Amino acid sequence: MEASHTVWPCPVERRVRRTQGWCVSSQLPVEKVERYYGASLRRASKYIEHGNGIDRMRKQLVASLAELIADQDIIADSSRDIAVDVRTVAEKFHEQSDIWKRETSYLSSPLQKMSHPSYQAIMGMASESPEIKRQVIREMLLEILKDRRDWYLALSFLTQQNPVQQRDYGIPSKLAEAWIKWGKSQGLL
Amino acid sequence: MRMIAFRSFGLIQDDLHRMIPKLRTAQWTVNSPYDTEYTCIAWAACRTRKVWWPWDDPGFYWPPGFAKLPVGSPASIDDFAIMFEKKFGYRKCATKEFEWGFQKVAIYANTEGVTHMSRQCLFGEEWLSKLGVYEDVIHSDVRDVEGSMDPNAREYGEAVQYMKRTWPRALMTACLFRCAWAALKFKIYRTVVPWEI
Repeated sequence: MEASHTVWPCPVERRVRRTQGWCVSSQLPVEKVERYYGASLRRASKYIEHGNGIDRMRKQLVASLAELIADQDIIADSSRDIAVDVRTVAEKFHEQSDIWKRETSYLSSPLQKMSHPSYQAIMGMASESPEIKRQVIREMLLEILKDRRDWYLALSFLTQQNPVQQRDYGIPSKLAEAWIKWGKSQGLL
Repeated sequence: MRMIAFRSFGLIQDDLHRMIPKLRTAQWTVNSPYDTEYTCIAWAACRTRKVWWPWDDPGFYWPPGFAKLPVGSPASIDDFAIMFEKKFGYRKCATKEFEWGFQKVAIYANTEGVTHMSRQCLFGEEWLSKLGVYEDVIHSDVRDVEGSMDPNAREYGEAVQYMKRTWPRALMTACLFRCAWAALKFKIYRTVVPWEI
């Protein structure tokens, strides 16, 4: 066990060993240690201090980098979220709209059509923000243009507008013309 | 431009069997193309140009002089029965069976309100139903398009009211000619374009 505390090799120890056998560092005379090790110990202490300084700097640098990376992740995440949201509005709309068309085209009662969950989901999307509402209205107009999908009631509700002349009430082709014209005048198409 | 589509019979069958389960075991044929311009109420009234519904919105037509309901209200059987009585000369009757000299319509409803209408062929026992914007079909029994009474099931419910009018009255409203013209257009197209397109 004592060997683990042994300072070896050293001239003091060698000298002591020659006379007294093995010794431990605590038993070495202070003045002799200072004489033989003083300069190197001071150098070592300076070196350790310097090393500690570098270590601190390195740690600080790593911490800063970690913070920076975290910030960048947040920025990247948020930009990705925005991209997803933008994509999602159109995609979600079409997804729900297709379900709605598939599951309600055989119905004549507008009440049954309106109460379909996909219709409600789309109306819910439109109420999230003015920008999303505008986008939803645009998608509705595009679907009217494409396949005369029955969005007239939803458009009346969302826009609070009535671009249809009274003599054209209930005529889908005329309703489509009127709403498409309205969409163009609003810069939506 | 009205949107008309001549879909393949397989596609029509898939759609209708999925949405109206009773048609799977019923005898039915397609009588007109997919048309977004009119739905079942207009077709029961022998019209093919407007979407009829008693809601106060530009999206729907309802004959002048008859009360319109606020958007979102369930439509009652009387809303339709009164209009069909005063405008087209129908009278309420008890049975669905074909009666010589009379044309009949059926009003379907679920627990919420009216959902659909069918019209009996002028000289036959079959019934004509325009299924939303989908095709107009001829089915052998009025009950072939019935479904659940639960509004959440999104089916037609049951035929709850029958009405009839005389043949002369039907001819006065040009019903026969409109129906014949609609059917003829479809048949001409089908002779040119085969079913499986």
